[in-house]
Amino acid sequence: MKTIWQVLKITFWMLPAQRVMLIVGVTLAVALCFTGSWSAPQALMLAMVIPLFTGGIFLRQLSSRRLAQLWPHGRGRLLAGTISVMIVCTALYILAYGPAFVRTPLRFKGIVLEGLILEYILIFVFWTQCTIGMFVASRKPVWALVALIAWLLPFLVMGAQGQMPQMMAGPTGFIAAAGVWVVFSIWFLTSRRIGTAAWRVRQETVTAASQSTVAATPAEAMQRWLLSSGTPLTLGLQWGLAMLVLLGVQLAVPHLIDADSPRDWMTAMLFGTLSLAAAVVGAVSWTIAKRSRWLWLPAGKTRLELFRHCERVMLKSLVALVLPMMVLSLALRFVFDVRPSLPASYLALAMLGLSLAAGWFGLMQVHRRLSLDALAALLLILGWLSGLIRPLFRGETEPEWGIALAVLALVALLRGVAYARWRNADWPRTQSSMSS
Amino acid sequence: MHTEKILEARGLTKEAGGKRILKGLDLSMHRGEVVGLLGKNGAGKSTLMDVLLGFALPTAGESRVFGDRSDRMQTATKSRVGFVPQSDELMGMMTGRQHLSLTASFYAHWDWNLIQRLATDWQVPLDRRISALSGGERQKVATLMALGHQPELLVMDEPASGLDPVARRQFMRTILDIASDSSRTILYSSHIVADIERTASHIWVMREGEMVWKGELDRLKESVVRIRIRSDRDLDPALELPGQLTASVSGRHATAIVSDWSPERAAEVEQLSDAPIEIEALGLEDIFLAVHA
Repeated sequence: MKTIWQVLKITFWMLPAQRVMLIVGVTLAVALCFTGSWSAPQALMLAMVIPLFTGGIFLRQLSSRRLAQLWPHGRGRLLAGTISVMIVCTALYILAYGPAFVRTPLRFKGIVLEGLILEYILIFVFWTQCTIGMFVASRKPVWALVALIAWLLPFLVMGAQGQMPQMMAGPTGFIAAAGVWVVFSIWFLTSRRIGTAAWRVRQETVTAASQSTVAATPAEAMQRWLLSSGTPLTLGLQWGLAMLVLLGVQLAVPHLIDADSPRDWMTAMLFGTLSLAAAVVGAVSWTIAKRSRWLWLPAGKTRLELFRHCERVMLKSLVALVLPMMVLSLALRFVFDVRPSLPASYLALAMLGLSLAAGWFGLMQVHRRLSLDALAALLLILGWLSGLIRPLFRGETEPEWGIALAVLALVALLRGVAYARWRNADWPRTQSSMSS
Repeated sequence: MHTEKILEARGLTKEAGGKRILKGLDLSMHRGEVVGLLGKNGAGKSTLMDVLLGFALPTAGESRVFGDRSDRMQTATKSRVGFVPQSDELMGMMTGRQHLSLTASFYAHWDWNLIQRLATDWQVPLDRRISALSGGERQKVATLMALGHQPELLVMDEPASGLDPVARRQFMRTILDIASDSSRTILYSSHIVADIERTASHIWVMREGEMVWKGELDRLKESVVRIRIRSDRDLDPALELPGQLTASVSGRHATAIVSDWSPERAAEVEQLSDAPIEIEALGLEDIFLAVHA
């Protein structure tokens, strides 16, 4: 129990952002509960969104340490803690419907209860997917691709058969999720060593990058350094390849299971996947900000000159990452006849805007101001969900121009913040705060 | 002195990347011993600790901790062992206190009073995030994590390498305090020979995967000595003494460091060099350098 309590604390209370989200989410949920609103669980999701996406990563980080092998029942307790977090969160989510359920007229209670059970299973399945998916994805970039495919497959299969809600939220979904946990637990408890998260840029990589640039021009060497030995071209090729695999799987599955794919659903998934390029741009620019410290002395530039250089590298990378996305969009449109409900011009603008915003958000990370960063991240996610994902999945034909303009305004704002932060970049502090 | 074997290894061999890192080591540690593990970089010290604690599997041979095979250590045995890794394995986002609370949750007994006292003595800011701590402060947190459950066997891989002299001295004092409890057994490696000389009762010296010396520190100091020879005539430049580790001959004078020394061998050396000799005791650092010459 002690370890479960500690894992709960780590998941909900370790970082200020977690505490803020927990307090805001619970307060909102309680307030909505008092009004008998059916939206209380959605408010509670604010408190749960960090545990949802970080539970698997924490599990890997804690269990991959050598010390964890010496802790009595170390892995078992960490796993129990992670599963407990899931059980607590999914139970609280459903319990938040309690006050609204109590006020439901008696004759409707039966059908509402049935709906709640289905929703519980749905959230249980989703939590399982996210936790184990993030555990797998945090190992290496290639595993992230594998996890993403595995994450998409159930949606694809069930979506293509037009049975997603019934299967996912029914006994099939629950048994499948429980089975996944059993298989994962057996592997987790019996494998000799849990691999560490290899997403972090290591000092050795930096050294290797510097050595590999002996024959390059200074500008090329700096670019390679900032991009962890890569170039915009290699990044673009890697991302393009990953997208090809992801889109290939999505296009192939309905044919393999010989199903009549619901067009809107598939289209939304395909273009939703393409929009992930923005997240990759953000990750690349974050890496650039992090590694810029090592260029301070060898580059011989002022802070603002260095910012402009890093900005150019970020924009080149953005072009290299977004270009394959555009090509693939055209291929989907003209080769596979996949037509999203939204106009192509709007989609292109929305994806470009989000990618630019994510790019400057990453460059901003040369300093950290938690509240501002959290707000910017929240706005980015909201922009993505409301400007792209929601209209795509709803099959809306009217573009959300207001949201697109808001995203463009966010781009300008984040660029301004990044510029201001770089003027007074404090690398040693950045280094220590980012080494986590 | 207790005689219970806490840790032992037979024919311990480890190969990795086509290289033999440990070469058939036979070792044992008894309760109450404080063993200092010495060796140059790449001698195999960390690998030895990894294999002894079951983190890595031996290619041949086996090791046991409290009678359990290292790679199949029972839960009860694990709770008797504390380990301080060479590179701290802490999570940057967590504070020292959060790390300690998490670690404490795995043990039935956790001495918070001891931890609080040591944290105060060592000036460890437990409420700051690990990423904001210096290397030395992280090392102290990692050490506190290994001490809280009062392990019977404490294994430390270069625990003081990142500490300043003042902190190192405090740290060593703590190790001595722990070692004064004769039920505790400590194995630790360090490049700082003076620290080992001050605290260890036994020494293991490793060179290229082999154990070139293992035994009591006093016994080592008695058996490795410097011999000074002053002759009336020029000495043979090729003069070689039994057990010689290093030697320099310059005209009528010669100095040599020899191992396996005993007073009975003085006559033999005098006869070989045909001159009177002076015996000089050596510090551990000189012995270490001579072994690696």
